[in-house]
Amino acid sequence: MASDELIVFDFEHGPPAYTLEEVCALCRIQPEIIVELVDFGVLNPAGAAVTEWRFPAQSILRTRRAARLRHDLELNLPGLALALDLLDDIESLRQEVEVLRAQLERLTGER
Amino acid sequence: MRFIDYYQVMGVAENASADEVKKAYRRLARKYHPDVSKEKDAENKFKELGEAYEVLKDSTKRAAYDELRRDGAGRSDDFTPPPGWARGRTGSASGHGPHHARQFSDFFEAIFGREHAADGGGFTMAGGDVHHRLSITLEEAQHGATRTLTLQMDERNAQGVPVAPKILKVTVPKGIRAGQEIRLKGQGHPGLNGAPNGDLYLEIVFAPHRLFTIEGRDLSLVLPVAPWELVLGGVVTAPTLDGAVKLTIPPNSKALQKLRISGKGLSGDPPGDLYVILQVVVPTVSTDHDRELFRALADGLQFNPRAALEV
Repeated sequence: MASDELIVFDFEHGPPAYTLEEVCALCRIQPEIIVELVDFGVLNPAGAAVTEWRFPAQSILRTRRAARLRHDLELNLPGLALALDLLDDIESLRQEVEVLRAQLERLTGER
Repeated sequence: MRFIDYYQVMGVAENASADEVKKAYRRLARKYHPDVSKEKDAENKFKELGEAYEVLKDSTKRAAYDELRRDGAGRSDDFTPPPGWARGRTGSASGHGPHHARQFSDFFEAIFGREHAADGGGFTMAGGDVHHRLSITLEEAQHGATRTLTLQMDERNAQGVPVAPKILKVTVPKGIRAGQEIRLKGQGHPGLNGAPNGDLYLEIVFAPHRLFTIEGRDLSLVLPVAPWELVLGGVVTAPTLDGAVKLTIPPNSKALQKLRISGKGLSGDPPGDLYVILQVVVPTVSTDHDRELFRALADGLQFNPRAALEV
C-alpha cells in the first residue's frame, strides 16, 4: 500500500481548521463526547454554534489523550479536565527543567 | 512461551476478591498509564496490566486460568496449553474499546483464543491506528530528511505466523517540530474483510543536540569566550544550524550574558532566534611568559572581584 498521503499536523500554528465531524473521525470518538469536552473547557474550538466549530490541530492530540484517559482510568469529566491541565503543566515544567539542566551542564562542564 | 502470572502482574493474592482486583487495577492503571507515567516501559506494563485485568475480572476466564496455574503450568518457562485445551472455549476477549487497539500476548491467545481471528467471522472492522515516536535531529528538522523506518508488526497472518516487519520511507518535512505528528494513511493495523486500514501516526521528538538546547522555536548555545574577548569586545565565530556566523561581542560584556542572533533558531514563519550565552573560559598557564602577562594584569588593574561582598 502506498504511503503517499502525508499530513503534518501543525499543532502550534495551524489555523482552527477541523470540524466536529473531522475531529470525531480522526480520533474515532463519538460527537457527544467532544461536545462534553468543549463544555468542560478541555477543548476550545473557534465558532459559536456547534456546526461552526473549528478545532485547532492540537485538539486532535488532546482529544485522543482525553479519550484514552477517560476510558482507561474511568475518569469523570471534571476529573479529566483537571488531569489534562495538570499534565500540560507538568509537561511544560519538565521541558523547562530539561533545558535548564542541559544549559547548566554545558556551563559547568559536568556531563 | 512464557507463562504470565497475572496475580503477580496485578500484585494481588490468589484469593483476592473481585473488588480487590478492581482496586489494584485502578491503582496500577494510574501508575502505568502511558499518557501519565514517565516510568520506563510504562506502555508494556500497562498492556500487561490490562491483559491481567481482562482475565482476573472475569470469573469464567479467571477459573480457567486458575486451573492451568494449579496444574503447574507456571513452573515451567516453556508453557504450552495442555492437550485437549480448547482454544477460545471461554469466549473471546472483549478488548478495550477503540482507543487502544489492544494486542494480547501469545500466552493470552493460547489460552483464550485470538480476538477477532483472521477470518473475522464475516464482519468488517476498520483497523486501529498505530502510534510511534520518531526521534530526529535538529538538523533533520531544519533541512528536511528522508528516513527509512522498520516497524515490527504485532499482527499475525491466518496461519498464526508473525507478519514481516514493515519498511516505510518517510519524508520528514523541513521545519517540522517536536510534538507534531506525521500521519501515514492506511499504514496502521489492517482492517478486517475489506474494511479500511488504520493510520500510522509518527510523533516527532527531538534527539538531544550536542550544542543547542531547544525552547519552542528558539535555540540556546553556550559559547566559550576568553576574558579579553568579553572586556574588549570583538567579532567571534559561533555555530548555528545553518553554518557558522560572525557574532559581535560588545565591549565590557558580562559572563553569562545572553546575546540574541535573530532568525537563527529553528526555521518557521517567523523563524526562531538563537540565544548565545557567553561562557568565560580561562587559559591554563604553564610558562613564565604567560604568567608574566597575567601578573602584569594583576598588578596594573585596580579590580576587586569581591567588592560586592564588602571584604
